[in-house]
Amino acid sequence: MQILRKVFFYCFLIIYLTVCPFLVLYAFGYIFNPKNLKIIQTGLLSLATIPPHATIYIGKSRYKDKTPAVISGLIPGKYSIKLLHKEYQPWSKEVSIAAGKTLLFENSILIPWHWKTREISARSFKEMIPLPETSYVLLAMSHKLKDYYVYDRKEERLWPLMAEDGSWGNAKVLERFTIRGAPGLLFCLEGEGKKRYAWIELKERMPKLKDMSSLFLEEPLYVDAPPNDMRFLFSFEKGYLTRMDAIAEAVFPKYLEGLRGFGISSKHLYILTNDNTLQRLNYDKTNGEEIAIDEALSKNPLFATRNFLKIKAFEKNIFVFRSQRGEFFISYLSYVFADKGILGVEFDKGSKKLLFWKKDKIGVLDFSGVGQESGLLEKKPQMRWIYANAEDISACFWALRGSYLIFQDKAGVYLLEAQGDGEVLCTLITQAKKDASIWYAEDAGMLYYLEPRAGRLMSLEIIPKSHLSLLLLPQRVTQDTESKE
Amino acid sequence: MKFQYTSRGLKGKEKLLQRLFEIIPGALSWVILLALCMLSFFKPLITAIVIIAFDLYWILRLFYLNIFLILSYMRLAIEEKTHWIERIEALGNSKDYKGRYRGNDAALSLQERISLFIHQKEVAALKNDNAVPPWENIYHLVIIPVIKESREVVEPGLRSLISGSFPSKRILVVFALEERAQEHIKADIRDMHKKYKSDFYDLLVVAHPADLPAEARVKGANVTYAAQKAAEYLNDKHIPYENVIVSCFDADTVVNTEYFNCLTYYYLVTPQRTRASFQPIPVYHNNIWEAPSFARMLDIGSSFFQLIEATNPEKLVTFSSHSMSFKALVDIGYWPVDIISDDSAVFWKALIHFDGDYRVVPIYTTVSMDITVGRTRWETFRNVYKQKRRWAWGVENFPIVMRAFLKAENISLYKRLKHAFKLLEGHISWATWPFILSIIGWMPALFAEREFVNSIVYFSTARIRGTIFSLASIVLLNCVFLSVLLLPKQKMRFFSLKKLKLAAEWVLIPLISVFLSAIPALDAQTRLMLGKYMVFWVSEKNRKRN
Repeated sequence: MQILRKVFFYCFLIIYLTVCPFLVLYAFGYIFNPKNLKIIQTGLLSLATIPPHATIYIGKSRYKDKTPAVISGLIPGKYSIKLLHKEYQPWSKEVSIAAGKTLLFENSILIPWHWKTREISARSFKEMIPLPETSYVLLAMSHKLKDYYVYDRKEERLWPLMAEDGSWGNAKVLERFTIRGAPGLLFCLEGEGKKRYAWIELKERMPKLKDMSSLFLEEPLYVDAPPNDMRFLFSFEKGYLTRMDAIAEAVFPKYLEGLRGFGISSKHLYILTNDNTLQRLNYDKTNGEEIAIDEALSKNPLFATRNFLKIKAFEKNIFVFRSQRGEFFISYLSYVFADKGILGVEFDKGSKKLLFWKKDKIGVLDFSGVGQESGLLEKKPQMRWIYANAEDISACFWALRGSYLIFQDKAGVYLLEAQGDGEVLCTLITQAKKDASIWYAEDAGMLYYLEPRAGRLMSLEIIPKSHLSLLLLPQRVTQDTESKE
Repeated sequence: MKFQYTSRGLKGKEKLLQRLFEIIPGALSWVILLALCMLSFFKPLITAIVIIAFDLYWILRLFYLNIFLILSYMRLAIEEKTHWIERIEALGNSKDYKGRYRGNDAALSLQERISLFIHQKEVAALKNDNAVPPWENIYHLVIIPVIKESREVVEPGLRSLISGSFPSKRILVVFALEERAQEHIKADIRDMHKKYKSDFYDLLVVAHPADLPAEARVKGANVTYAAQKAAEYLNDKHIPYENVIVSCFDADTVVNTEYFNCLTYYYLVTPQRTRASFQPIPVYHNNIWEAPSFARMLDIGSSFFQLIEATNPEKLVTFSSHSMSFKALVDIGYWPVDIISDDSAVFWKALIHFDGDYRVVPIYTTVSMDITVGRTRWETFRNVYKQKRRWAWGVENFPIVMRAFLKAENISLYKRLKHAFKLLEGHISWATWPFILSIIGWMPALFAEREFVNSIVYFSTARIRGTIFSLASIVLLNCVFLSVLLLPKQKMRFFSLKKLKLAAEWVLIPLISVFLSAIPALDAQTRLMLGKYMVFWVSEKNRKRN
């Protein structure tokens, strides 16, 4: 037995020493190419579709497995990939496989021949105002407050914003200030010959209206508040911040002075002082903490102008500054990504990608590699204009954990694939009322829009309900479009 | 070599060395686990490669060990039908005995032929060692330590000594009773003494006084005291020590009917028999159907481990119930009296004492013991955890052995390195492998940043691991099969269903290996590393009253 043990031991040792290097090389994608008798490094393609079980074609060859599938041993180069599934349009793409890399198509939506749509309301609306991070959407039939409706997509109920017309109902809506996550919004109204401010909570039958006119001493440039704490409503005026306490009906003029920017994120108040110092504070001004901004950014001529900047903190170290002209800065090299015309930004926490759009194009900043070392330097965010042929983009949303974008360009609503490199697939989903906005609810996989002719409220199923639970949605998306409507 | 096999009362350099070697196993285990965790976060690519290399090593080792598990089981099955007494008698009857004890070879079955072939080899090895004592002069000394084991636990073992095919009149049984045992335990022992005394050469009850100087509250102190009293008894009876084989059993040990015949045979055919311990295969069948599945699986695993170890006598170490020459035991100064893991410590003590000229001979027969149980499942879990931690506390031998090896110039460097490496590697792998296989191996994928997710290694690692685990299922199937084969052949209701249940329980192995194997081992090593020394914990052994 002792001899047998030794024989087996040395046999297994030889097997290990022989197989291990090959296994490691295989793990890196190296294979032996019998055509040229050389060892080459291959790439890998991962394909998953919604719905699954699509037939895969690589070039003209049918692959043995259906989606989801991981195809390894692909020699670097260009491949034509085609996915076929009955009742869905063929999905095809030219992809580039790189040595040692994986190309991921983790959530490829197969486009149905006919999208599943549903009419929610036959009323004729002119405009739709989504309330970010809530289940509510506001629908307007005219400028009068009494013609505003609320739709709660979770409850699937629609009701008038005002239970009774009264003096408020006949007031004309001049401006709307939405607060992220808040179940209500602030209106600036004109009625009975004067300008008034009102906070309206969106409750069915018993809408709670609070007259805030006495708290607004000046016309605000920008208003923001924590989602559920009306003791801290902040408005930015001429270089200073005013705090309003809607509960105690108190106002604190010049709460903070010498400012050129502010914003609320992650339960903190962020301010940018005139000397370009960024600070994080509690709402009650305690625990002030200075956050270092790179000198190159603070001295950047565009950043250094005196324009008001809205601040958004998306992650611990990712700060975005936006001016009213649409200038857009981030706290990472190379700081300035657009000198004007940015209409909105949206961050997807799961994929760590920041979406921003102008009238004619859509850009994506990828922060996923940031913080990792690359040679001697820390990696900077990767930026690319993902779509540049638009005419008038009015709304844009992340979908499927950063794999897709849904945007409205004039009357067209499009689904844009944001995964993989190279060619971008853009599909027209439907036609919607121009300038009326659209709304995509990630957790429901549902698009809401106003039908172009009559303005009826419609829904369109982007992700079938049966697949939603498998996708671990929603990843929280932080949106920041213009809050002042 | 004269060496005080103890970790107590050390001074100066010895104390420092002891402490250093106490730290090494725990520190190494923690460094391996933490380094892999950290690497998974910061360098997932490197970790993935390390994991692939480790997984391949693991699966090859699994197959390698499985081959010897099968061979060892086959040997056990072959020797099951061996007529040991015939062989023993034949050994003593003829000087030119060549290992044939049956007439016509052609009439033998394949099993018998293999057994005969091995037997002939063993006899041939004896040719230079003519002094085979007549088997009629061989006596067995059986020491049974008792502290809190009830009559239901002890009596079946005692009866197995009588019902065995070896004449019980040549067995001297000593109850090593702790003086601090409860009165009802003492009364049970007195009753059994009265009832069974006449069945043996003699049955002694030796009460071990509590807290003797230089002793710890460990089993080794109790059995040493009993062995010393037995030595006085043997002197009185003029029985030479070299004619006595001592077996130190647990209170619940039930021996196979052929155990003492088999042991006597191996003792006689082993050259330099007084420089060897004899290790049977421990099985845990006494209460196998009463124990919860997790406890059952662990002890089946222990039996398998011993079966595999039996094929490697060069590195075999005594475990649990075992036997040895009484002369060797007296020469080395009995069992260590302050070491918890006395079963393995006695081997290391003998190896050092005899300058490396000591070995363990595997004997292909079984001794059956109880699976540790409690009144509830949770209590069983706790008891099993404590028992495994106590087993893992065998790591306490490492610093003592290393201190001895540093001085033991009469033992070859190769032998010292071989034993030291096996001792250390065994404990480190015990504490780390289940963690690496079940948890850490998946960490690079779980905490991967996009950079790693986009690399081909991210996907290929998962594929390679998947293939390796699929291959491991072949080994698992073999273990399932062997565990069913190893079960005691008994007539009971729903036996086939119970066997099926046992087979299904193997799916628990990944969980059990982490919670009741790796964690207790890491616990023991950490305690030793931090100098928080353990005290002896007596396994709970309860049996349903018939």
